[in-house]
Amino acid sequence: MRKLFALVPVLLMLLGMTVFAIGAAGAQDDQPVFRIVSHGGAGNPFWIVVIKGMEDACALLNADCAWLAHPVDSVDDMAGYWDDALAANPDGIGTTVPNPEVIRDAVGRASEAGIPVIVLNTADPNSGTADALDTLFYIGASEFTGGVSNANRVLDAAEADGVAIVRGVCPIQEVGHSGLEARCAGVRSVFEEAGIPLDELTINNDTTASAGTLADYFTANADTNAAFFLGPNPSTSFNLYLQEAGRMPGEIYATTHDTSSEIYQMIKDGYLLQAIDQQPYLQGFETIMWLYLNSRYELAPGNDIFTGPGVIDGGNVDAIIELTAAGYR
Amino acid sequence: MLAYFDENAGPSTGVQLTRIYMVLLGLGALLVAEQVLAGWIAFGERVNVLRSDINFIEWVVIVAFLLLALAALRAAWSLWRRDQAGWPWSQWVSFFATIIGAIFLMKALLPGAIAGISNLTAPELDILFLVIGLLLFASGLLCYRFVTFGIKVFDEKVDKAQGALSTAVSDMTPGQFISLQLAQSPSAGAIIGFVFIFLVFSFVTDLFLQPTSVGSVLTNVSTKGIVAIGVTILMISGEFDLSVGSMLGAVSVFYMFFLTEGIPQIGLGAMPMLLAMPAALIVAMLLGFINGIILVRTGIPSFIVTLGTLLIYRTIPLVAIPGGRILRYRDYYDEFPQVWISPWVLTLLALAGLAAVAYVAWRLLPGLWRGLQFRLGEISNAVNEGHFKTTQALLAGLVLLVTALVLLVLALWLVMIVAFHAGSGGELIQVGFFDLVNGRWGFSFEQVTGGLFSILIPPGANFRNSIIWWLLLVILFQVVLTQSRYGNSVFAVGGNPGAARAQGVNVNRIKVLNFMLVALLVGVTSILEVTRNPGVDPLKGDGWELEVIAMTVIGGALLSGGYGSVIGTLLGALIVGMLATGLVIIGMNARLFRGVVGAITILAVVLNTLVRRQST
Amino acid sequence: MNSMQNNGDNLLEMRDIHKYFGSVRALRGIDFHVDRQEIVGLLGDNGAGKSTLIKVLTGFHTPTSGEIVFEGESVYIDSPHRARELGIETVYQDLALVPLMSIARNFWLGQEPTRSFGPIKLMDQEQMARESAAALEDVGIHIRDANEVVGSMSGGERQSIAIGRAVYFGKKLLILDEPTSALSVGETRKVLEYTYAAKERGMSVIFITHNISQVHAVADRFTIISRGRKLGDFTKADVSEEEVATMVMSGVVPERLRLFDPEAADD
Repeated sequence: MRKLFALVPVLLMLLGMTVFAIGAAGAQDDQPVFRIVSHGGAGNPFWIVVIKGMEDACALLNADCAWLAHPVDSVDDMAGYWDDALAANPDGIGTTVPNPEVIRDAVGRASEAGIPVIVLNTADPNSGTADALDTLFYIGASEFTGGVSNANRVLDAAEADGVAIVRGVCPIQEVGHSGLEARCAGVRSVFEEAGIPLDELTINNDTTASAGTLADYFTANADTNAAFFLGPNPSTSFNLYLQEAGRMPGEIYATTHDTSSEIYQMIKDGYLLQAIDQQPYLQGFETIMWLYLNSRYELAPGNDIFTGPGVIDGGNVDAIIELTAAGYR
Repeated sequence: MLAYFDENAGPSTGVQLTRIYMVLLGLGALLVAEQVLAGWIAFGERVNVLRSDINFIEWVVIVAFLLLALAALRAAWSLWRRDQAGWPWSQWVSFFATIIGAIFLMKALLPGAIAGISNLTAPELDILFLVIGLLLFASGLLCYRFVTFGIKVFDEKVDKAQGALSTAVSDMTPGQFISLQLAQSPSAGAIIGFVFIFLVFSFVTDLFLQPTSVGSVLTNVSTKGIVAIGVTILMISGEFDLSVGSMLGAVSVFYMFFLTEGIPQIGLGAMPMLLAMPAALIVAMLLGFINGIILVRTGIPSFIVTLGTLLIYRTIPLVAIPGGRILRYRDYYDEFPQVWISPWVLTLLALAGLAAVAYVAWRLLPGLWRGLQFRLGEISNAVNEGHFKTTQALLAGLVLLVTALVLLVLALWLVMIVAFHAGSGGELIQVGFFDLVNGRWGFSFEQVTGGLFSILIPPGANFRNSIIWWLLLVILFQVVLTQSRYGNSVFAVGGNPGAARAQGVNVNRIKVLNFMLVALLVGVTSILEVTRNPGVDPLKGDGWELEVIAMTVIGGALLSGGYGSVIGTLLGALIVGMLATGLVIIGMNARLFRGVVGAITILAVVLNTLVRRQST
Repeated sequence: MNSMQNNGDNLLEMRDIHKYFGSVRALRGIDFHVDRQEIVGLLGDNGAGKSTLIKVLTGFHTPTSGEIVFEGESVYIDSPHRARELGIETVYQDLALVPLMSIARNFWLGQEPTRSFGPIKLMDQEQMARESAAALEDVGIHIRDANEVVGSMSGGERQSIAIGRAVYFGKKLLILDEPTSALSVGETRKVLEYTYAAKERGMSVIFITHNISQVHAVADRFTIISRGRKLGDFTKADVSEEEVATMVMSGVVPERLRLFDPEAADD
């Protein structure tokens, strides 16, 4: 039994090589070849939607595409997958950049070979500096812009109701998480401009405990009437708090990021104005499309392409629920 | 001073001063009580003179000052009659005057001190509180020193005259007595910490004693508190469970699946409500059994075993709920489950409860009453042991009073339920099943409870049944731990496994049972958590283990085993809960929050260690 | 010295006990007996086999061959539990009591008296405190408060309580394993007094030590073991303290006391 388990990685490797060989053999001369290297893969439902975007784009273009990544999550494996990608002599490569050093050498070889490289989902942290990787542009969400969108939506909705936003709160479930902090920073930029105070509140991913923390916060700050949640679990906590405190829709102008069935329900019930979605499908689809356009016609957009903030609100939530079931959201 | 006991000589100046001080203190305390009752002195945020409502803390102040006044006048009377009891009375009165003075000083000074690290604005210094506090504190301390010194001199003289050595116990001053009581209790640090943190938050912000905040503390800490009971008992038996958080996630997922889709892989369909609960508890106990059996079979330290199962058990919800989904009851059913209860069943239950209360009262109260009488008799008989026996009598009286009050309130409530349902005409009552298990007081199930809670609880305050389950389990397991043979074995297994084994205690059996007990309580908590928020995410319970162990350790349990108490853990849990709520209420900077909790955890444990060291 | 041969009043008799651990012969045919109300000093240097012998007696080891007769009946002691059932109580120096528990709770550990409160059985703490204090008083041990924690007591006091406990629960044979090696002179004397009190109340005592001076005062008889064999049984009247000490050290029986030559019987 134990020996059998020891064989598993070997078998997996053999399988991967076979698939790769078949893929390479199947590539015809006129067929474009694209590779996407990522730090996560089919084991994670988020990436499933990105991969579906890639596959749909490739089907349209009749291209030979492959998603090269550790099935769950590995940044270090990306160097090896980049070697695999380059070995296929592709027309273009898309990559995530969670750690530029892991893939710096491989990206350099790609640019020597004249292969266009597009960054998707996770941007190069050195972008704009001398240390930046030699890539074309970034396709993905901007957490900061998502926060700005949420803040503006809240201010607009309050103005439409003739209500003044007195004070806002941004509960962070993981203090120090750069993406979440960027979402809050987006809200803060709008609120500072409007001269409205914005509190930070530490909560966690435990929905019941966080509901209690929210209750404590609103006990102490009864005048707060805007809240910006940063994910599905905080939104669930908020829903629980609203029930437990017996608060009505519209008392607190609230928004969130990301999606869950509860978030859709809360938008329908009027407890949340909108949810920001980073639209992962676009990240896969557009990367292939732009690699195609760039490799064939040297086309490129003037700037990075933001796939978010995609907004889900009362106007499109029903359609979104159907699309989620179909795997596009 | 000595002249006091010499019937022929006139009293000394010091004695005269003490007499006058006691009279003044008595009258002053009466005055303060009257002023608070009349609304002239306000504790709390509403400072209008004409208000008719008196809040909780003001009632406490009124009662405390009335008692102080009574005691002071009693002391003065004794001093005038020159009986021995006058001295211990004076000692206790001045002792409490000092403490009350200190509390007033805190009330005056703390808010300003704490404003620096929160978003509160520093209020103006309250001169009235400052002056009363200073006066009480200084005069009380002086009088206490004087009386204590006098008693010492007197004792020595009596000892010399009788040629007897006075025993250590009868010589204790109130300060010594209280520190001895604390040192003998495993939860000394927790008691001190609880009182201190409670006072700090009550003084710093008026919001802290509002029903909303109190409800928030109790409700949010109750579920973790239930797990902490088990972890405490396990820790006393010398073991350690890091897997409780993962177990909570796993059992919650199982419970949710039992309720909704069953487990089709093994041909198990969705279960009815009443079956899903025991099924979840059985799954929980199985997980605990695995922990325990690995421990005793392999001899690997429990830290390692449960670190392993922490990771293993977490995979259950991670695999069962793929993809960052949140498993929600509402995704399967539109309505939460309902049950119909006959009011006659409730009436019968209430009557049974009444019988139980009556039985407990019959068994407990006469004994307590006799104890009090015995102590009171001892006071008048004692020659040289007055102050110690006074304390014993006071304690006995307090215990009797509290027990009688609790039983009375319980009995009244049960009578209320009977009256409520007797007039209902037998119509079935519809209640949400989840509300019955862990509903909000005053809203979800008042038809069942006879409307008691809706009287007491204002809307918006979140009190839940989990508080009652928690307190019941605390009482149950405190009794099991301190009064049952099983509890005795638990202490022995943790304190000296070799000795326990030598006396025929099955050490491994106790350990495995304790792991299963932890798991069972985790199962109960899972059910309560799922009924509060009918949804489970794969990370449910992540990080609980550390918080729960913090509660246990703050509560005085030793990581090395053999020492600890469930009551201590209750206080430890309350400390953690008060911190969580209090720090948010005073607007502690979000980035400092964890650091403060950590620092206070260490402080509490240091305090425990110091107090314990003093006792040996 | 033949006066100590079997006279029908044996509490315990171990006959021809062998114990081999693989090729190591720990016990090579030992005969050992304890009479009723007798204090036997079991002496031997470190590694002589006295703890192995006691572990055979208390059920931690089963003998490779040999027979154990307890109260006239052949018994098979295969577990510590079985030894306790027979009334054999061992007091180890560090394993006697739980330091963080009170005297009363230690005293009753494993057999706490209960009283019923409705259907619930709880420990009767008053009875525990009262009876433990009285029982200890009975063997001459005065305690201040039965609810005091054992941890604050000295090693000798703890030993004494363990002895008092064994007496109270009607044990027949008390085994003391190096009870006084870490105690002061005064405390040692106390422990010996209680040991004597235990004998007065009908118990037999095996007192294991490698230091004759500790037991000479109370023991009725000495059994000396050397290299897995018995050197001999000697009543107190027959030998001096010095002779015993020499035998324990050298493993040779002086000419004057020689019953037989153990080395000669080996072949």
